[in-house]
Amino acid sequence: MSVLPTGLYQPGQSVLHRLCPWVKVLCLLLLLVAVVTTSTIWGYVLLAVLCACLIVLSKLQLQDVFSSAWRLRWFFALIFLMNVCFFSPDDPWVEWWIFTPSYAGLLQAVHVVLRVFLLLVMSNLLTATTAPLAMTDAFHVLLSPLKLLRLPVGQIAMILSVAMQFIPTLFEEADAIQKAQTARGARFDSRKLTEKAAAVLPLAVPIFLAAFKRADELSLAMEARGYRAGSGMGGRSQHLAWRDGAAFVLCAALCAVQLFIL
Amino acid sequence: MIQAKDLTYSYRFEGSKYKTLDGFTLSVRSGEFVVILGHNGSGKTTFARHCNALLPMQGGSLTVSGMDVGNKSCLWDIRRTCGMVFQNPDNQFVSSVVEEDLAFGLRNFGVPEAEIPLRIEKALETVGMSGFEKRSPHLLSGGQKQRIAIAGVLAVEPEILVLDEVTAMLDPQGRREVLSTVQRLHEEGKTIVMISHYIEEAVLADRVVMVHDGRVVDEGPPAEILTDMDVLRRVGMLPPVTVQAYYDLKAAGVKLDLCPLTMEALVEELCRSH
Repeated sequence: MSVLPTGLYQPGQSVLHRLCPWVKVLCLLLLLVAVVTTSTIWGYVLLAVLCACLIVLSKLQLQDVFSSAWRLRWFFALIFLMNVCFFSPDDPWVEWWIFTPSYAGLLQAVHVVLRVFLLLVMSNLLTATTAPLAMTDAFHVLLSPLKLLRLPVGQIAMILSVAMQFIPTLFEEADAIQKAQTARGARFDSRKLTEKAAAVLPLAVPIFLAAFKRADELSLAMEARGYRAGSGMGGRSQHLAWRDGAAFVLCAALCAVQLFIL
Repeated sequence: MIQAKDLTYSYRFEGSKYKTLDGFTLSVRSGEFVVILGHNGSGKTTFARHCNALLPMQGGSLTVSGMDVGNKSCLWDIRRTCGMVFQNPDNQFVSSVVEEDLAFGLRNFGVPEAEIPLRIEKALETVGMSGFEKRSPHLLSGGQKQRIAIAGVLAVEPEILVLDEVTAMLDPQGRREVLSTVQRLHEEGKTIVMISHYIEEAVLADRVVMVHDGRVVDEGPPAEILTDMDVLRRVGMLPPVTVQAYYDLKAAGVKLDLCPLTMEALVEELCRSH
């Protein structure tokens, strides 16, 4: 892994790092609601200012926060164009084949891109300031109502967090398998979309096999280190500090402002 | 510390004649450094997994630090007493932060939260990786990864350390790092059982155990076992380079007094005989 995928945890001691993980996740959810319901320019300004403040508070490198958005630039361009061209068939500037670019579409496109961008930055802030096992604890706390349904919450939380851990490893593995197949004459560089899709298929089987093998070994290692499915872990007490309350109130207030005032 | 008697294990049940372990008998004393050598499929890994109660007992008896491995109620005590490190360092980490990964075992065994940072610091110091607390294990070198994995087990303070081919996936530099760590742990009094198929690694041991077809073929101090061409041939292993050199020299008419196990010893012997 030569480049760290962003969103990965960056150790630190900032206020954001020290917030209780499950409060952080809850705050993110509130902010997501706020982002999705925003429709006025002041709403976006407010959220953008908030994001800027959070980035400053987190003491993260700008690169860590924004590089995943940069990597998705073509995706942003695509959703922008699609919204412009297809959103509203009424009152288009020009009408050509199936394309109907319009002012309403342009407006919608700006909205969508801004929202997705804000969501991405906020989620990045969460994952960059929360250590993986702290995230497991957060899931554990937030999912705990499901215990009433007799769902193994602790195990689900562990599975989620371990699965996230192994995403970069699996990508690496896919890359290695792809190179091995290329060496044996497989072609991944074809320009034709159908051929490209067909070439990806033979990758699936070895990747799945490797993933199962890894899972097997990891579960053995976890067991050897005393992991008990069902008990242990998650029992970690999470002390709430005043800043957790403050963060929650702030996010809730912001969400309310977006919903009812702006 | 470890008493295995007539251990028998077969991965396929009923009807399968092939036994991975077939009357495996071995005892390891407290503070001893034992290297178990054998080919792939000789049963050495299966034995290691038994030490940590990771496989169900099928036949024979095994006690670890006086606890019966077949007894389910001892399970967690056994795993706490006997720490185990695996071959592939990548598949042992549960967190992408060293510090958190080390805390995993401690939390599982219910070590008080206040004590955890101290234990982590101590474990990292023991493996010579202080200052790596906040790093991501996935971005370290193979040798460093494996030392972090060892630290993760050491933090729990087990009495016995079982290392299952921990150097098999490492480059020579990484192997040296890990071996010197293991040796230091041994000097500090830990009981160590190291599984390996690199014969050179056995030179460091107090005792070498040769395993073949699921049973112990021979055991003794390295100077005895590693120079015994008959035993080596029987288990299908090549002798260490220095031992080979000794026999080659002997065939060519140069008789050394001692069969050397390390390069330094070989050089010394050669100088003296001249």
